[in-house]
Amino acid sequence: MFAWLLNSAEATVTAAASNTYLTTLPLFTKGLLTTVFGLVGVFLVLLLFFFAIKLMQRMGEKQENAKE
Amino acid sequence: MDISALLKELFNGVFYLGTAEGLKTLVMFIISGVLIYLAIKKDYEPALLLPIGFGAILANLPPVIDAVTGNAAASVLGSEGFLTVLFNSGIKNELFPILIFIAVGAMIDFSPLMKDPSMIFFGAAAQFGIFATFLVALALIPVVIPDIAAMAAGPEKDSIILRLASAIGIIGAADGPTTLYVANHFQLSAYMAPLSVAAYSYMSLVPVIQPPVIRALTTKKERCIHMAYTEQRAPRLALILFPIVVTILAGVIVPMSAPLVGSLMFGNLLRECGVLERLSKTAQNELANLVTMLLGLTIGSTMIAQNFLRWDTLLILALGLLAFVFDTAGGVLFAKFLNLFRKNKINPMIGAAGISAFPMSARVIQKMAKAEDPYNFILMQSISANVSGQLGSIVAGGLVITLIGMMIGW
Repeated sequence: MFAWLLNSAEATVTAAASNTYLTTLPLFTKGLLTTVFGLVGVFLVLLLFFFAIKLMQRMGEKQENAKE
Repeated sequence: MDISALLKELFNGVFYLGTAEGLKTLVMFIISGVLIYLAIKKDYEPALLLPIGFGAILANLPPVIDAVTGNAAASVLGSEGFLTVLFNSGIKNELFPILIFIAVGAMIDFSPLMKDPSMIFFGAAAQFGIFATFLVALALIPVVIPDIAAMAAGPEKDSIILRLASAIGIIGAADGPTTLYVANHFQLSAYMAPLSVAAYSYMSLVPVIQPPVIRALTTKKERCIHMAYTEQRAPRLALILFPIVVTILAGVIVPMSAPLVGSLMFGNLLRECGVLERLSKTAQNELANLVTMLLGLTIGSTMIAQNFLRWDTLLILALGLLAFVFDTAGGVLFAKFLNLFRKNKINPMIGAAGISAFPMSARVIQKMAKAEDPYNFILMQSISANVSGQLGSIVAGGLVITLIGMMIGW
């Protein structure tokens, strides 16, 4: 349990350090990073929704077939 | 007090119109008149443009001295003026965008999307404009906006540029509530007027802005592509599970989008659950109408002459338009790209519906398809892309808040 606590504290420190690093980048680099991660992020989240819909469709169809 | 002083005091408002500030007020009255004209005569989103136009008139009436603060402001905008109260309780705390999304969620039928989930990717592709405009804004803001240009280089300057550029980019999604949400989150109250006016006016100008962009990027043959569609509804269980699952997924992956996704999906669950028809109808009608009216008036009230008649406003309006054009182009080009690999071709006009202006964009696409070929019916596919655009723009808004927050150390 203590190991997990230490790991999570380490992860927090690493995240904080990377955030500090990001704030020091030049303006346009910040912009490009936001653009790339933003666009890829939107596609990935909607890809996840796509799979979720496929799964829900299957569940719904199964239920309807069972009713029939 | 002599008579002339008494008259001056009594007709303070009339004398005010003769001053330099008063002339600016007259310009704002003309701008308000144009908005009201577009609403009534051209029928461009009258539910929004008319309250915005009227709110702007109210906000630019000659000022009176506020009894509490001692500042001069239009009586509706004093510390206890009703438009100030509405702003503080509806926009400043993000309540109106949330309520609007409950209403919009109750209006959206996700069934066409459930029948053809591949359409969801148009909701992502059409967000291209947000990020493209964001980059253009990053280059222009430090040069064009005098207040920012005058700032010394450093993290403070970078922060305001990034925050403002991201809010301008979001206009491209044609998503008024998300624009307000992002602008509010980034404490851009000084730019709230042009941002919200651009977002809401361009939403209402979808029929004017989108068709020329689509025509420029597609051939007549492409615009005439037919697409098959079955009328059968998606299974009820899937429609009920969808809002719950999407809320959880979005809330876990992009927590900043949770308020908007959550309210949109709550509205949709009211619609699809089948046991709350009265609440669903209330959300679709009374809630939507009431909040739209108050939101419009409140947005109009931010259009005070000294805040609005500035170079920043022109830049924000121009970049907002660019964002809208980029978003439309992004969707269309993505559809054309997919057609390179698909056997059953997609009508590329559908890509343009991947923005958030629901259902106007889908209707515009169907109207264009019908104008090219009276037997072409692509409304359902357009609606699928349009509702995906609604989801995509909220997710993009949440991601932008998170990423910019990291870049500026918020």
